[in-house]
Amino acid sequence: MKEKLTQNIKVGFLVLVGTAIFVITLYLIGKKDNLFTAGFRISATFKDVKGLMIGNNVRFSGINIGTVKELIIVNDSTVKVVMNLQETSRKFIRKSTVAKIGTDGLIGNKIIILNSMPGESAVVKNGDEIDSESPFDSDASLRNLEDISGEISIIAKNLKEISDKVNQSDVVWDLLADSTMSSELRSTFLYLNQIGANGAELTGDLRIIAKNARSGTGNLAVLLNDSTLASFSKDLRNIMTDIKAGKGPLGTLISDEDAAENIQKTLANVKMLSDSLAYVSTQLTSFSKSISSGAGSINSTVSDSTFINNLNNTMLHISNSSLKLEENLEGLKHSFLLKRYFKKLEKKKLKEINK
Amino acid sequence: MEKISSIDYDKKVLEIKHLTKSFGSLDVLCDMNVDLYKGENLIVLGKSGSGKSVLLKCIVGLVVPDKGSISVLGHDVLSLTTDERDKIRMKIGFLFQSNALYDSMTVRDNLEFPLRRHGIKYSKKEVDDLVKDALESVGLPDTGKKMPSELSGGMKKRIALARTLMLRPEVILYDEPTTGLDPITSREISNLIVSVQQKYKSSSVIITHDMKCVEIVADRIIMLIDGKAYKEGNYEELSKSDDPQIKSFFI
Amino acid sequence: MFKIELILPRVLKSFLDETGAIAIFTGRFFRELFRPRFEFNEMLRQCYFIGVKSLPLVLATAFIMGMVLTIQSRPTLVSFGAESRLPQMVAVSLIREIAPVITALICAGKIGSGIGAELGSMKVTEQIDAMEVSGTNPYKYLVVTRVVATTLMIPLLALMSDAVGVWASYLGANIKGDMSWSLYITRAFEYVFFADIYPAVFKTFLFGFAIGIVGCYKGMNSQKGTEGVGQSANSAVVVASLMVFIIDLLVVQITDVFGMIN
Repeated sequence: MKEKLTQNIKVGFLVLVGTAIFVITLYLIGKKDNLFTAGFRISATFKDVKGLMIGNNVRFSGINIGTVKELIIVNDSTVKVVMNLQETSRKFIRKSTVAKIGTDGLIGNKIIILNSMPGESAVVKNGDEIDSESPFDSDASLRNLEDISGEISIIAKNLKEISDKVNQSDVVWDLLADSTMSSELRSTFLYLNQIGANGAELTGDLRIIAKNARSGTGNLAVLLNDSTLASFSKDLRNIMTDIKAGKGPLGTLISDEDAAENIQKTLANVKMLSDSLAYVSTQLTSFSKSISSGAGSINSTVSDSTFINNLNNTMLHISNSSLKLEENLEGLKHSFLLKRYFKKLEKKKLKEINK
Repeated sequence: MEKISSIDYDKKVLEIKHLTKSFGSLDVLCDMNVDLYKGENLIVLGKSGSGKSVLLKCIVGLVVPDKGSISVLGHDVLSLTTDERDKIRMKIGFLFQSNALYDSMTVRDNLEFPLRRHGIKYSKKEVDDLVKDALESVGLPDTGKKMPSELSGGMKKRIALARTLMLRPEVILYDEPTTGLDPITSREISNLIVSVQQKYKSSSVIITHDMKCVEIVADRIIMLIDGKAYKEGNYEELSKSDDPQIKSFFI
Repeated sequence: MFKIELILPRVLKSFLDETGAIAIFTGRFFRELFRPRFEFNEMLRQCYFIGVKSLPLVLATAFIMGMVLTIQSRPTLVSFGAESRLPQMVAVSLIREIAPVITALICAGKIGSGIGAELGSMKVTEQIDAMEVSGTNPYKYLVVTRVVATTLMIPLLALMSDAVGVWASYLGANIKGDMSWSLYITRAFEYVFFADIYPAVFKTFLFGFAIGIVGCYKGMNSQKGTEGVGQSANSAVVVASLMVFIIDLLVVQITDVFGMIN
């Protein structure tokens, strides 16, 4: 009888412990889902919840403060997400808070991220609806940036080829050796410098224009899509290819010895080109600046640092190239070796006449 | 032990008519007729596999026969409901060939088991008295706290017999009570069967092929051959028979 | 007359025969279960033998499984830089699958064979007949009590092995790491949902029921002789283990259909 009693006590103990474990497990899961903490509810509407599920976490400043309680399809393009948040976090959540859908880690569950916005706003009440931010379509803007970077790299390549050609061209160096040209050239370059100063002013204007364009639409994607920029860079590319092929004023200067008489004209063209380059480079700098430090929405979403790096490198390249070109022109200005070149040309002509 | 016969030939406690049972194509019992009178020890003698055990199991309803009728104490056991059959079973003791003591229970629990299971309330004193009496009847008064595994073969048989006596049965069915025991123990058990029968005024059907047991116990013998009651008579009649089939048992 | 048993291969025939017999046996269990006179004391006794007596074995297995799983998973997670996910991974796999199935398999081995052998030897030594003669329905007294006991006890054992497994995995995680118990538990339950618990607990009831039914069926249908007892114990373990896996598969499918796996 006594033995049976101890047996029954042991069975009872087993049942109690097992049931307790079950209850504790349920409690732990429930606690995680905020079933037992006092809470309040707010909601936000989204176009697309990207696979968010009931029970997913809600984060504020990186801390889990609640869970998704309900997902209601309001109409064909609106989903209402009801969140249950801990009462203790209420005082930090203002009416201006913006809800966003994010991902927990690289491959984790979808979560709701609450971002507080600058400026004063009242604390939320139970049942309030807060604003939502539709997830930025980073793919489209990245595609645009890719196109542009392609164009820029072609420009940079062309510039490099030009400077290489200038470096290697005997004609240019012969021209530089001619001293008779020097005074004339000096005045020309003075004039060119003036134009350069004007160019700087122009660049400032352009920056303002770009800024306006950016803030005017409120979306950089539009700016990135701007066809004028694209057509401009296309034009620039055309100029470069022309130069490379020996066409155009600069091309003639570099490759055609007989074009020496037109040097003044050519140099004017060079100056024009350098102006254009300055314009492009400032435009690109301001663009890249706006990407790397601008306040637009692209800033928070374009986090591809390698792309930004590439872009920066390209910019550096371009500015280096234009610097080199400027140096070359400077050298040209100060040289009187050009005179000798023209003498040589005259001699050549005389020889031909004699023959 | 001196055997005192007190058979009442007017009172049939068991009446079996035209009993037939076959397992598949094997006919175990064919048109078997057996009567048992009050106070009688009936021996059913037969070779192994001649259907003796099946006969006993038909009587308590463990095996349902194909044909025939079985009447125990005036009740047709085949047409009873489960509850009615349990009531009849209280009046039939069954001593199994392998004793069928519950290994997980003590001797005392084994003895109490039929008392508790038949749903009759006994006071603790009544149970104590019944257990003591049954254990004394089989000559093992101090084994109540032992487990069946601690007992020898003969002791197990006695305890099993004590258990069948707990409910004071009117009919006791013995299934090969001396099989597997040494000759001395066999004789003790045989004598015990006789003394129990005289003490409790019960009637018995004993299945065996142990001739020593038959000699001690038998009032009447039925020879079972090929599922049929081949020959009936007392020990002396059959031992003098010239029939080779009968003679083979008495050598 | 067309006889289906003539065209079926022998293996299939015996399989169908066995399946049908177990189905009938199960049907009888339910009939007896709801008839009056419930053998409560005997059931408690069986709960003791099935639940309490299996506890040390089950807990030791769960402990080892929890620890081994943790130690084994760590290098894989470290190579992904996801070491902090170790508690979640181990807890989810323990609670969803490993603890219930390992517990059920251990019990199929210990309890299934125990019931098979016990009832088998009772059958062989005519104890079951003796019970019936003593006015006791052996199905109620032996089968129903045991099946109910396994059905109730195995979920409890599985829950306990859940707890011990998670604790062992905490110890395992602290062999090479340093994590407090409360942090470990918070992490562990981060990805455990109600949808993990309910099917996992539900299936342990089915495991227990299957182990009980198969053990009892094999025992009650034991062949004569000691060899028969050994055979019924052996086949009880084999069939019960197989049933555990089949039930596991079915429950996974069902929970999947109901969208409870996420």
